[in-house]
Amino acid sequence: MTPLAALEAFLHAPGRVVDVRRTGVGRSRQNWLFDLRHDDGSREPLILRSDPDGGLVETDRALEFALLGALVDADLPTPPPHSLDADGTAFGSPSLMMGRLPGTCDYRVLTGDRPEAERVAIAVALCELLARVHATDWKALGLGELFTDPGEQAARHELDRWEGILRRDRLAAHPELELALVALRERAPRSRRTVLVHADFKPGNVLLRGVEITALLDWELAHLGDPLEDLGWVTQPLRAGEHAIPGRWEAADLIGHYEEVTGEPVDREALRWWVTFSTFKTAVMQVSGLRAFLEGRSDEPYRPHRRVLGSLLDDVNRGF
Amino acid sequence: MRPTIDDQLGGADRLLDLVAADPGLGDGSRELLVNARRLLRTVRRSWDRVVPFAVADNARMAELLGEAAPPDVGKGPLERQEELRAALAAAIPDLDDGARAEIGRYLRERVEEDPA
Repeated sequence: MTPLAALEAFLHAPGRVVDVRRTGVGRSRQNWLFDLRHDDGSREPLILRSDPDGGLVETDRALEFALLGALVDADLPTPPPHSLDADGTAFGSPSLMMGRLPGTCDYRVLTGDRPEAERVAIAVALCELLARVHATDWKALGLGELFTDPGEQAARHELDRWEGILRRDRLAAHPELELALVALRERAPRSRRTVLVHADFKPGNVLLRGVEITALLDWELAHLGDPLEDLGWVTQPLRAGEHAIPGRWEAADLIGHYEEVTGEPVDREALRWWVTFSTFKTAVMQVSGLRAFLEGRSDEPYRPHRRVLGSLLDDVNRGF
Repeated sequence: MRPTIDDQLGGADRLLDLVAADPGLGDGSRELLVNARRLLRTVRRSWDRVVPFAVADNARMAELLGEAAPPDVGKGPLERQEELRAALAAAIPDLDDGARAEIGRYLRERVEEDPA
């Protein structure tokens, strides 16, 4: 069945799916962009995201669909969910159909060609959007029914989750990661508050129109947890090329502005734990990616990278 | 003897260069080609240093493990390396801070030296 036919059959809309095109290549996630033409002539821009056979992490498309449904009532620029093929019956692999929001994605926007003032404005907007994610009233939106609230044990909860992924996906022993696990477990901080955590917040997961953020995408790793988890992710040195503007918007600026906007002080010692955890998580993602590649489920030749392992061991050896 | 392993890896790399120069290549194929070339170049850069590194790595890991090192029953250096890395990983949770720190320092050095 052609993609067009599959879309028309799934939507019960013969002749009404137009301008179908694909983004993404090989076995990476398939994104189909198209419009649904309604009887009154109007068009509804949609996107279908289908899971790859293998990737960095396995996530639950039905859970992401439910989360996006709940977030429709939140003050966040999230794509409205349209429909779900949870088991891949229609499209061959689990797939999520969403409204297609305007804007373009540029994961290096903060270090790109735009004028510095514009890049700083975008960096500030990203920081404030993260604060809005954390301010989401997750209880009122019913997210407590989708996710476990780990309470003050959020750090241990996430460490357990990623240790489990490491044990499941590793193809060989990784003493570097075992050493990090022991150190992280010994010093796991207690969480002060539970918030909605995006867990992969980065310029590559937003859409921009000018300096306006029109969409925050890729909620597949989202969960309830410690806000420092997202702050650790965006301030980890490995990702400075995505989140910082050298000399103008560094990790300290981001943290300072976050504190100003939220009124919540950031515990720097606990944040260092979350930064190290972020590096550990990146390494585990690469372990999973290596397995997927060697099993022929992915076309991306991931491996635990020298830079990631070096950064992780530097943190561990100096006690974070 | 020619072609050497380097000759052959270099030849494959050159052929992929020719494919990459094809203006008719689609975006998808080009992305796959980038990944293939990256893998090939990693192997070309490192293959002849992998075994000497494993021999030195094994000696250092056996030293760090002491009596906890599995007996050397004459396995090849790469198989022995896997065995010692597994033993090191298994030993880490039960070691005291000093021993873990020593292992941490070695693993950090090792990250820079590992040709693979």
